[in-house]
Amino acid sequence: MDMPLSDANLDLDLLRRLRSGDHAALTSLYQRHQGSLYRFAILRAGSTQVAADVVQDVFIALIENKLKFDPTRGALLSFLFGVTRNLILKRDEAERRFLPIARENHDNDANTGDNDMIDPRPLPLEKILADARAEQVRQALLTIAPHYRDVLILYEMHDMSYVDIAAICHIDIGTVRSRLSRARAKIAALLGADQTNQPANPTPPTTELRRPVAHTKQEA
Amino acid sequence: MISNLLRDHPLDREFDYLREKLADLGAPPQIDAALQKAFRKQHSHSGRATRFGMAGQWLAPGVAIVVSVAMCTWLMLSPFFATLPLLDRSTDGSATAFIALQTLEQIALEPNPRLIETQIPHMLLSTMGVVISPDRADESLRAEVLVSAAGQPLALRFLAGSNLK
Repeated sequence: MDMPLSDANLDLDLLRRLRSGDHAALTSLYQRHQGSLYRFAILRAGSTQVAADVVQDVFIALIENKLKFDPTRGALLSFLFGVTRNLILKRDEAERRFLPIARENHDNDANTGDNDMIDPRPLPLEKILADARAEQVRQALLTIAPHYRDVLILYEMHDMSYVDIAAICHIDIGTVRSRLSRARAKIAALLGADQTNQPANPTPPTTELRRPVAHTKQEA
Repeated sequence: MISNLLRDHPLDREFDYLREKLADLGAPPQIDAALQKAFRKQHSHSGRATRFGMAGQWLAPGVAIVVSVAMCTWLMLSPFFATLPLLDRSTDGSATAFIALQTLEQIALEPNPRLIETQIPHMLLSTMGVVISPDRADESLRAEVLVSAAGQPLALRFLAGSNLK
């Protein structure tokens, strides 16, 4: 009797079949992972167009065997999250070259420890959520700095472990913890300010009681 | 402590809510078409390569044998090699085998080759990569050079007594 394959083994098997030209393996791999990657890319990049392009690039690279996936270093999905993130970073880098000088001046002025907060840039973004509450959280995510956003999205939205996030973002686990903690605090501050119709204040209200991030998810 | 936990719960709920709202969101269908195209392109290339590779694997030895036989026959029937008295000399130990300086085809097609006996200084050999003892750097070797009608060196052999090992 055939034993059911674990997720990791199933991915490996599909990848092997894809490389040998099995069309059904491509369909299965794509169906298994496109949703997660697309949702990550949307929240990370803030644009459905960028998210679609990036997801397409990831799978084309997979088809063309251009990615060096090492199954001993983690699951395929984690690896693909890393590739997606890198592609978005490259786009960010290209986009940053065209930022106006005024923005650079603004960044230089923000030297008070809160320069991790960035201005939400106008994005050619369709309203993907016809829901004010969810849209508010999504906009708050876009407001925090990308290196906080990465960690927060992977942890909160994709249930990735600290180890996986560390591998995806090329940082150590301690940095994952601290970024996650700070990212949550910033989001809490932003949402709290929005909910009371007050202007966004990077400093959390003194009455707000914060605790370290609850580490309920598996760390290894 | 309880108030701390309660304070964070709304944030968790916000993320859960967003996750729930995004749960059904998938990549747009046009990506699928682009991937199918990339897949077909990739595997039509590799399919052709595989077919050629398999055919080549079976044909290569046969082709190599046929080409080798044809080359040998052509060289043996060539007027140049048929009349060349020099080949005999290398068999009696008085000379080394010829070292080709041009392609065999070029040598064979040379209409009027000449053999010239000459002295080659050790220093010249060292520039060609031959290891020469420094205390014999001023000596030279006896050699025969096959040259074309235009004076181009075609092949070279060293003669007995020239101490070349």
